[in-house]
Amino acid sequence: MNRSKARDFYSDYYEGTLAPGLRQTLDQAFASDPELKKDYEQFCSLMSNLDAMRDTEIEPASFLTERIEARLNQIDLERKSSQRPVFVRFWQPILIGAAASAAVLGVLVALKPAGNVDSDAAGIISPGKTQQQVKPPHLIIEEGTLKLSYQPRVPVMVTIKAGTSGTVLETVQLDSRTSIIPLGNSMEHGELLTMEFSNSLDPIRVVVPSQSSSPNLEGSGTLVEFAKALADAYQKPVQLGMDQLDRKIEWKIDQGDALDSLNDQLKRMQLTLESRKNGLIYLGS
Amino acid sequence: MSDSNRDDEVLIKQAQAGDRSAFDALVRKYEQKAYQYAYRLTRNPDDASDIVVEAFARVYSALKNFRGQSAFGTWLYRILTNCSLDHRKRDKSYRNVSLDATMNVNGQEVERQFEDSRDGPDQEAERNARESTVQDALEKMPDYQQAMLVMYHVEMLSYEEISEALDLPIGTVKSRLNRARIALRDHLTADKELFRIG
Repeated sequence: MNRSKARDFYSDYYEGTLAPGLRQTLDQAFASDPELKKDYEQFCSLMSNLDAMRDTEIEPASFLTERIEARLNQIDLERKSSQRPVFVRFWQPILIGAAASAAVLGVLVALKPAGNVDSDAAGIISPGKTQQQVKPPHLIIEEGTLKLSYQPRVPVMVTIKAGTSGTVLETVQLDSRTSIIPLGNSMEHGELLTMEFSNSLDPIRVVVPSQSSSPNLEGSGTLVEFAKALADAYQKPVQLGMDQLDRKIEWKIDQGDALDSLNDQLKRMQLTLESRKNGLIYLGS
Repeated sequence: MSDSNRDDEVLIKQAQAGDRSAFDALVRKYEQKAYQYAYRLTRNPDDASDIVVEAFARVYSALKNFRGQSAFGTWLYRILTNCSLDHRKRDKSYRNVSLDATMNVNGQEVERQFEDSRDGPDQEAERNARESTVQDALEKMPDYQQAMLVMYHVEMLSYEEISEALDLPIGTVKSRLNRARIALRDHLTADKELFRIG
């Protein structure tokens, strides 16, 4: 048996699965060819070294579970989106009736890459730059559209809920590459959106004004209803900075007035209204 | 069928029926093993994570077509191997370690010729260095040979499981594995300390 042929049988010989006749032939070859025997011994040593590799511990990966979950959530979203064209939905009149268990808000969920965000202004970490503080999630108005902006270092799931009942509209993943969620409202009145974050940051609540303005300028109701009236009256989103949304209030809105006059009404409730540079109205305690 | 495979079958059926938590349970069961396999192939934690994420994404997307012709774990190995091959094709800048280069052992650069054994070498450093030499040589091998060697020797898959994972006849797996071992051995022939010969 020549050396090349003998090598074809090394693994079977090592594992003891070689047919008896062939085993005997190989034994004779080893006995008569010391170089071949040495060759086989080196093969055996290698087999031991290969097996020894399994004893080396490998440190678990960081955030692997979260990354996998985020990727699977993305697949789920893509499946849902493919069944429900969001753009068409955005412009359709919303039917609120017996068939709908809750008001359905047309939420435009069009994820944009992080390059659309002014990362320098926002202080968001960019590759190659020295590490800066990651800005918490915040609302901005760009090209007339209200958007949630957040560029976390690790993927974060954002659950978008509608109304005070908290009906889940969408669940979206934000990460270092995808950081913008545009928000819209195709209903006939302003509606509350709540955005909750999987990394336990405080939720963001905002009332998005309706497309057609028919504000309730004078009335009474909860803070949410007041915020809806404000949003529709001024055609600006109203961000809510308090938790007790069911507090009762009476209001009278004069669209010609600045918000200051409303503040006088709200002072006794220890609430304030603020018109912010980002184009939103902030109602807080 | 083993208990583990039976459990997988239940979870797969539930996941195929739309139960996402059942698929999450499969992920939890296999993700570390998947990562270890991917890490063995790439020796880079980020690349290994990317491969594992992509593999589970492919599994999730294709789950409805899975008919149980092989065990779920074996199927996952196949997908991991394919993801690894795709990753290598995309990433042209492989680590290309020369067998003559120095190695980093316990934070220090050491030459591949080890200290004379008569001086009492550090067993731990020697073992690490030996493994590093073998691992470096593994990386230079053709993709499928590397995958087979890792599957058999490190992941301890049987010939049958490798045959299923790579969709090759068992005889082909055995002969290719033997050839891979011989090729690896020839790469490492010069390293006498590795083989403790003479």
